[in-house]
Amino acid sequence: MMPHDETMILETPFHSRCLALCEINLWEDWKGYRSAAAYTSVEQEYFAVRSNTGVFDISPMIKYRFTGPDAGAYLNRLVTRDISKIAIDRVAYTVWCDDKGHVMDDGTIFHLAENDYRLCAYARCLDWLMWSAEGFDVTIVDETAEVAALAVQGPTSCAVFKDMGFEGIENLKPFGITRYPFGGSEVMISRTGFTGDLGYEIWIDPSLAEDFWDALFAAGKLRGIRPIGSSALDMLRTETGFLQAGVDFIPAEEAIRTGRSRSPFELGLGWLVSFDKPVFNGQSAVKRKERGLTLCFCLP
Amino acid sequence: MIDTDKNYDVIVVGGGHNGLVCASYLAKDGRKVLVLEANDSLGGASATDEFSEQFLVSSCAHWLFQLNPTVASDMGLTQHGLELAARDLSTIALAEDGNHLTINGDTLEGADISDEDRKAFVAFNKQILKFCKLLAGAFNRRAPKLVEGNLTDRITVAKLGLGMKMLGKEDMSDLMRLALINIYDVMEENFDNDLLKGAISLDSLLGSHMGPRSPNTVYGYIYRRMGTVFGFNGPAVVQGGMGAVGKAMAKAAESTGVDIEVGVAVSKINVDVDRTTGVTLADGRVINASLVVSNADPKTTFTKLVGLGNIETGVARRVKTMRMKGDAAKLHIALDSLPSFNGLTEQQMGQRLVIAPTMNYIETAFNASKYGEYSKAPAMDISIPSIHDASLAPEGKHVMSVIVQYAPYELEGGWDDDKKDAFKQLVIDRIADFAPDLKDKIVASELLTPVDLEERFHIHGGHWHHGEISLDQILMMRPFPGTSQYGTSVDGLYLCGAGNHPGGGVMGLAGHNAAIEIIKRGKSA
Repeated sequence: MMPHDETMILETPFHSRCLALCEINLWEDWKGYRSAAAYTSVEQEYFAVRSNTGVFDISPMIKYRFTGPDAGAYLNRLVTRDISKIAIDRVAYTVWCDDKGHVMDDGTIFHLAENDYRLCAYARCLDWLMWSAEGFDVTIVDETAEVAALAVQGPTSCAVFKDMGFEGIENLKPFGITRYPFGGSEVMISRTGFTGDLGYEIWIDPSLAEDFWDALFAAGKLRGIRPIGSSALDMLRTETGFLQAGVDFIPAEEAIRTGRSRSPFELGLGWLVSFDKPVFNGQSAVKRKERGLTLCFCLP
Repeated sequence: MIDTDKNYDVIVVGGGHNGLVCASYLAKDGRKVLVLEANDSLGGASATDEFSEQFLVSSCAHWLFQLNPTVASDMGLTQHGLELAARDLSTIALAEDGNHLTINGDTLEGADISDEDRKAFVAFNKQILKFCKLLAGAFNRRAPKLVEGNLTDRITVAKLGLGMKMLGKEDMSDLMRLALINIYDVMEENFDNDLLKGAISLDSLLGSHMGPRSPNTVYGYIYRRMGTVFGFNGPAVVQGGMGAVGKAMAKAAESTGVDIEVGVAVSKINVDVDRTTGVTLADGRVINASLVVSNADPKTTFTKLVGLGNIETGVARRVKTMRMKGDAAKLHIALDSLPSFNGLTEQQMGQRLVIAPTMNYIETAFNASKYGEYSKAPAMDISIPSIHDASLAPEGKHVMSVIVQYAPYELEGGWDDDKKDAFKQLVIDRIADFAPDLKDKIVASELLTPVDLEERFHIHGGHWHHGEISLDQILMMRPFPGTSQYGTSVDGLYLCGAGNHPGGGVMGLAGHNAAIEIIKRGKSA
C-alpha cells in the first residue's frame, strides 16, 4: 500500500487481483480507496450474483472496533437498536441518529466476543463516536486498514466455501459469525451481505488477502465465480430494497439543506428502533416524531 | 426526616437556597416534597461555618445583596428568623495612602473625586438601573426558547424587545453596544478616578474567570446590580452569617410541609429508559419519586448523578463544554481585636472594603490565573461582619472574610498545603499594606481555594454561580442550549440551581422559576 503523501487514493489489500481482472479499467473512489465500478460488464456481474457467485471487495468499508467493559452499553446509547439482545457471534443491522433524531448512517454491528464489537459504517464518524464516549469506559479504534474484507454472494457461494474446506458453513444462519483456520491464521465469515441473495462476507488480515482471493477463485472456478463492481452491486441492492446512505437518504451530518435529513421511521426503518432500552441518541426526538407531533408534507 | 411511608411526589437533590425555595413553592402547590442535603447544614453556598473555635464566618457568599423580595415575602423569611445585622452598606475602595473612596448609592466621597466624576456616576447609575429594570422583567420567569416559542415565551421576548425600545434611542443603542464590550472600556468612557473604576470593575467580575478587559463583564456588572431593583442599596450583613438564610428558608419550607434530611448524600439519580424514577443514596437506599429536582450544578447533576451515558451525546458534549471554573478563593481570619485600617474609623471598617486600586491592577492579577498561577497581588472584597453581628466571635474579638481574586481552580501542578500557605500569606501581607497591625491580631486563619469550595459545597469547579455568567450562558442558553426552562432531556428531571436562568448569587429566582415551571406543566411534568 502506498503512503498518503505519495498518492491521494489508497489501494485495497486485494488490489493486485482486482487490477488483473478489471478489463474495462473502470475505477471509482470509495472513501479514499480505488474501487472497481465494473470489471467486464455490469449485466454479467449482476447475473453472477443471482446465478452463481460474485465477489465484491468491501475492504474500503469503514470499520471501527470497540473494546472495554462499557463497549456494549456504549453502542446501546449510540444506535437505535437494543444491542443487549445481540448475542456473541451475531451481527445486527442498525442505524444511528443525531440528537435531532435524524439518521446519521446505517451499518452493521458484529458482536465478536465479550466486550468486543465491530461497527461497519458508510461514512467516517470517529469524532461523533469519540464525543459519544464521554462517561463510558470504551476504547475505539478505526481498523479500516487493518481488516481486509470481501463480499462473496450468490447461490453457489456456500458450495464454493465448502470446496475450500470450510466444513459446516452450510449451518451458518443469517447474521451468524463463524471462523476457520486459513494460511496459518484465521478467516472470519459472517452470513451477511448487500444483495439479498445467499451470501457471506469474509474478514481477514490484509497479509493473507491475496492468498485468500487466489484460493477462493481457484475453488469457485467451476461454479462461475466472478468479481463484481459497485454498479452491479447497486442494481442488486436496489432490487432487494436495501438502503444506501448518501443515495437513498442524506446522512444527517452531510445534509446541507434543512429538511433533507430523515428519522428512522421516515426511512421505513422504525423496526430498528427500540424504545424499551436505555436512552439512545435521538430517542426523545424520534419518539416525538413517531407520536406524530411533527408533521411532514409530501407535495407532488 | 425521610418518611418511608410517604410516597414523595418530588425529591429535591441538594438543600441549597434555590433547592429550598423550589421545594417550598412545590409543597405549597400540594406536593409531597423531600429535600436531601449531603452537608449537615442547609443553604448551600449561603453557609455559616465555625472555622476556628468560637469564630464563625460566612464560608462562601458573605454579602446578601440580591435576595429577591417576592421570594422572601412568599416564604415569609423574616417571620422564620431572617434578620439583617446591617444593610445598604457603602463600598470603600481602599487606597494605600489612606485617601479612600466611599461609594454609597449615587454619592461618592473622598479620593479627591472630581465633580465631573460625581455627575458621571449619577448618570451611569441611572442608566445601569434602567438596564436592570428591563432585565428584571425576564428574571422572575422562565427564559424563552429561541424557537418554537409558545405564548408565554413570546410575551417574555416581546416584553424584552418592547422594553429595549422604550429605553429610548440613546439608551437602547448604548445597551446593545455596552453589553458586548468590556467594563474596562466603559469605565474609561465614563470616569477618571482610578479607585472608582477599579471598584466598579471588581463588581463586574467577582467569582468569574474574567478580567476587566474580558467581554461579558458589563453584563456581569448589570447582573450584580440587579440587587438594586430588589431593594438593596448596597450589600447587607445577615445576622448569624449567611447560613441564617438557609436556616430561615428551611424553616419556611418545613412550615409548608417539606421534609428535609441533612447529612444524606445522593449518589445517583435513577433513570429508567428516559424517565427518572427517584434517587439512590450513598448508603444504598433507594427513594422513589416521579419528579427529581436537582439543585446541584449542571455538571455535577449530569456527570456524577445521572451519568453521561444516560443522556444523549449532544447534551453530554454541552455539559462537558459548559464553562464553570472558579477563580475566587475565600480567606477567613479570626482576630484577637479589631485591626486598624489606615484612614478608616470602626464604623467605616464595617462597610464593604475592596482592594482594587486600578483596573490594570485587577487585569494584572487576572493575567496570572490565565496561565494557571495565582495572583501575586490579588484583588479583594473584604467584610468584617462581627462589627455588626457580635454572635460571630467571642466578645471583643472579630472575624474577617475576604473574597480573593484570582486563585484558579486548575492551578499549575494543583493546590497543595505549601501553595495554599504561600498564597494565604501573600493575601494577608497585601491586606496588611492597608491595615499594618493586622498580623499581630490573627488568632487563626483558613483559606478555601476553588478546589476546597468544590469539595465543601459540591460545586463543580468551585464556581459559585454554577457556571460562568456570560452572554453565551444566560437566558435560553443557560445552563446550555437545548436544556433551558428547567426541564432536562430526562423526563421528570428538573434543575433548579444557580446554573439555570437567571443565575447565581443568593437570589432565589432559579428555584422560584423552576417551581413555577413544574407546577405549570402539571401532570405532564
